[in-house]
Amino acid sequence: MTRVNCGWRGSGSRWLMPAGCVLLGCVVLLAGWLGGQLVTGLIGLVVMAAFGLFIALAGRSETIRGLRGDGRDERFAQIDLRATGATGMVLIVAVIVAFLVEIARARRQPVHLARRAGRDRLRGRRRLPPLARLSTVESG
Amino acid sequence: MKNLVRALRIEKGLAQGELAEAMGVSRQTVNSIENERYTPSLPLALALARYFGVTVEEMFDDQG
Repeated sequence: MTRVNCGWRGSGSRWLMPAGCVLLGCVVLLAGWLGGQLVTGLIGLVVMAAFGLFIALAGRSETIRGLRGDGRDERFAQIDLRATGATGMVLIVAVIVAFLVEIARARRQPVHLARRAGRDRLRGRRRLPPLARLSTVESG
Repeated sequence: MKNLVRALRIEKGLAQGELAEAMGVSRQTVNSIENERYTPSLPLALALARYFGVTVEEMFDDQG
């Protein structure tokens, strides 16, 4: 059958996403090993490898083929673009809300924190030997 | 957008998958175009029109 060039071909490799999953699993393993949690790291590697295998072998779903890269076409790219835009919007809103919440909470916090810090400082000074106590008064 | 893709494809005796393969898009994209759920890009619209030997205006009707 003749193929017509319409400017869109799914050029992604079928194995890129599964390889990325395994690579991420290896990073999880490395992080677990460094953190002294080898079993957790191994579980992470197994889960990521299984997910990668699933992505590689589950071929008929359009969504999975799109995620994998070999089934992408202009419609999927458009959906992807919209989804990315929506995700970005949600993230921006979340950051703005978190910022506003922090501003609202910060009104009460300094008083509370300052009181606590002052109390700790006074307690700490009482425990110091007299000369050191004097030097902290001079410096502070 | 209303279009003649389904009619022309059936007239040519093609399955959606075969047309999709020829256009380099997914079968779901062809299905979405036929069911007026997706408006193809200009390159794809031109490719479809060329493939069926009609003009883009004949194939797609933006008034409908």
